[in-house]
Amino acid sequence: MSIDQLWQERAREFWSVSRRYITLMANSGLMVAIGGIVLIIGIYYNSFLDWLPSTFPVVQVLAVLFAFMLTKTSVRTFFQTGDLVYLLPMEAKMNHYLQSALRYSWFMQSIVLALVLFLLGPLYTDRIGEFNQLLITFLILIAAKGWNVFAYWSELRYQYVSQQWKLRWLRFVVNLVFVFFVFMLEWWFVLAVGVVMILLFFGYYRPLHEKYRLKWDQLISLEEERLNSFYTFANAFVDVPHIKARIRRRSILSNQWNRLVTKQSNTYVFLYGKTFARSGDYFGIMIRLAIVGALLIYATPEDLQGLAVVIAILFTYITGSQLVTIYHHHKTMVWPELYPVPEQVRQQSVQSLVRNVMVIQSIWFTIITFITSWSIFYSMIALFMMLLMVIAYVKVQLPKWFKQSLHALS
Amino acid sequence: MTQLLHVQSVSGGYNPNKPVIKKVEFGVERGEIVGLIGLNGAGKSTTIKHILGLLEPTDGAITLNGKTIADDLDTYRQTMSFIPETPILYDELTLWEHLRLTAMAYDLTDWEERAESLLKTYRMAKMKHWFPSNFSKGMRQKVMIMCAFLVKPELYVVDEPFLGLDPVGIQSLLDQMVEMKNSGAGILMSTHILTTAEKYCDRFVLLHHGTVYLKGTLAELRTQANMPNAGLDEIYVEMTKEDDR
Repeated sequence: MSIDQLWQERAREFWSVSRRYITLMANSGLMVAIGGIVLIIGIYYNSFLDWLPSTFPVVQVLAVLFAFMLTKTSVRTFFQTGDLVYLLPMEAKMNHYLQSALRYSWFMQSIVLALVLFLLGPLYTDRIGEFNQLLITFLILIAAKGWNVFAYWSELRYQYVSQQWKLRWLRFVVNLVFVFFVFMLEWWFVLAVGVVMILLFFGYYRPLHEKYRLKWDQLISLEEERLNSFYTFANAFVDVPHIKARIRRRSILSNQWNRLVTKQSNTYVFLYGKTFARSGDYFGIMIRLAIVGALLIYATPEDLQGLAVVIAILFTYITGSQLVTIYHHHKTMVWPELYPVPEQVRQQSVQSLVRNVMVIQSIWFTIITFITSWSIFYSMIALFMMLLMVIAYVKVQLPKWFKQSLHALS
Repeated sequence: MTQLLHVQSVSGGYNPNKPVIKKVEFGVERGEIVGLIGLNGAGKSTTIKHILGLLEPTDGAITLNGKTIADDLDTYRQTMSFIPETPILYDELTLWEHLRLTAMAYDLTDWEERAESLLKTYRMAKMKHWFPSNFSKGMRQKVMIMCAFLVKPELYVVDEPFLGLDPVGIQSLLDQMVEMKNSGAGILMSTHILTTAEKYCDRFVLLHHGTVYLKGTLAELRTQANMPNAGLDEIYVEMTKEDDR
C-alpha cells in the first residue's frame, strides 16, 4: 500500500467502526433523542420567532455563533501512535495524505455548518434577508471554513500551544468581522475582508509550512483526543469496551475515605471506595439511575402508586447490580493477589460498599416520594420494601455471586 | 534457623506438558542479595511468579521460613514484597494513596514518617497527590520501589528494577537494598545489568532454558565455568555461546 492510499484506508477503517457504533447508538435511544429534539424545535419554532423581540440583536448573535464555528476547527489526520516510528521518515512524501485529511475535515465541518444554517434559515429569512442571500451566505461560509481549516493546520506548525492560541484568537477576530459583514449584507466589506484573508493565506499561513515541520506528538495526541471524545459520546448510549474511564479527582466525595483508620481490614474499603468515587463508571451510573428513577417515580400517576414502588425497588436493585462489578475492577492488577489480606475481607468490603450505596439510593427515592405528594403510608412501604430488598441482595445474592465469580476465574 | 527462601526442585509454567522451568533449585538466606541472571525467555519471570505464589509448581515446593504458601497463605504473603519489571499502579489512586493502601494491606504501624522520607529519597515529594497518569515510566517505577520498601518485609523479590530509573533513583535503590540486607532481609533480584549485579549481589543463579545452569558466588562461578579471571558478563556471554553450538 502506498502512502497515498493510506489515508483512504484509515478513513474507511474509522468509518466501518463508527458505523457499527452509530447503528448501536441508533438502536439504543440516540434516534429517539434526536427525533424528540427535532420535533420540539419544529413545534416551537414559529412561536419562538413571533416571541423573539424585534430589538433582539440577531445579526450580532449569529455573527458570534458562526465566527465561533468557523474558528473551532479540527483536522482529522488519522495519525496513530505508531506513526511516530513508521510515518516520520515519510514526512516529505506526506503531501497527498495530508491534503486528503484537510479536504475531509473541510467537508465534514461544512456539513455541520450547513445543518446549523439550515436550522437558522427561518430566522434568517424572517429578520435578515432573502432566501437567495442565505444561499450566498452559505457558499461564503463554506469557503471561509476552507480558509479556517488551512489556517488552523498552519497554526499547528508552531511548537508552543500558547502561540497557537494567540493565533486562534486573532483568527476569531478576523472571522467575527467577516461574518458580521456577511450577515449585515455588506458585500463590499465582505470582499475587502476576504481579500485580507487571501493575503494572509499566501503571505502568512503558507510560509509557515516551509518554515516549520509537522509537530507529530501534538498531532497524534490531538487525534487521540478526537477519537476519545467520539467514543465517550458513544459510551453514553452503548458500552464501548476499550474506552478507558477517565479518572476524576472528585475531592469532596473521595476524601470521605481518607477518614478511615489505616489498618488491614480497611484495605479494600479504601481501594474500592476511591475507585467508586473516581472512576467514571460507578458513581456516574449511580447518579444517572438516581435521576432517571426519580423522574419515573415523579411522573407516575397518583392512582398507580403501587407501580412507583416497584420502580423504586427496581432502580435500587439495578444500582446494586451495576455497582457490584467493581469487584472485578482491579482484576488485571497483581497486587490484590499479593496482599496478605484474606479474600473474605475483600468480599466484605464490596458488600458493605454495595449496601451503603443501595441504602443511599433507597433514601433518595423515598425523599422523591415525599415531594410527589404521596401518602406517607406509601412512602414508608416503599422505603421498607427497598431496604428489605437491599438486605436480601447483599446477604443472600452477593455471596452466591462471589462464589460464581471465583469459580469462573479459576 | 531455616532458610529464608528455598526453591526446592521446582518445575512449572503455563502448561503441565511443557514446563518453562525444570527442577530449579536455589535459596536466599537472610542478609544476602541473590542475583537471578538469564537471557530473555530463560525462565526468570516464571520463577518469580512461582515464588510470589501466582503459579503453582507442577513439581517441587517453595518454602518461606520453612512454610509453603498452602501452609499459611497470609503469613507467606506478609513475608515478602515485590517490585515488578513493569510498574503496576492503580489509576484511581494518587501516589500518597498508593503508600497508604500498602500500609493498610500489610498492617504497618508508624508508616507515615517512613513514607515521607521515602518520598524525599526518591525526589517524589512534590508529586505526592498526583495521579499515575501524570507519571513517567521512571516515576512509576519509583512508586513500586517506595511501596516495597515501606513494607520492610523479610524477603524482597525484585524484577529488573533499573530500567527507566534516573541515576539518583538507581543509587537510592541500591543503597536501600544494601541497608535492608544489612538489617537482615533477603533480596532476590533479577537483572540484565551485570556490572551492577556483580558489584552488589552476594551470590548468583544463572538460569538457562529453564534450568539452573550455574550458581554460587562469583568465585564459585569462575571455578565452575573454568574461567579464573572472568567477570560476570564474560561468564554470561560464554554461557549463551553454548547455545549456538
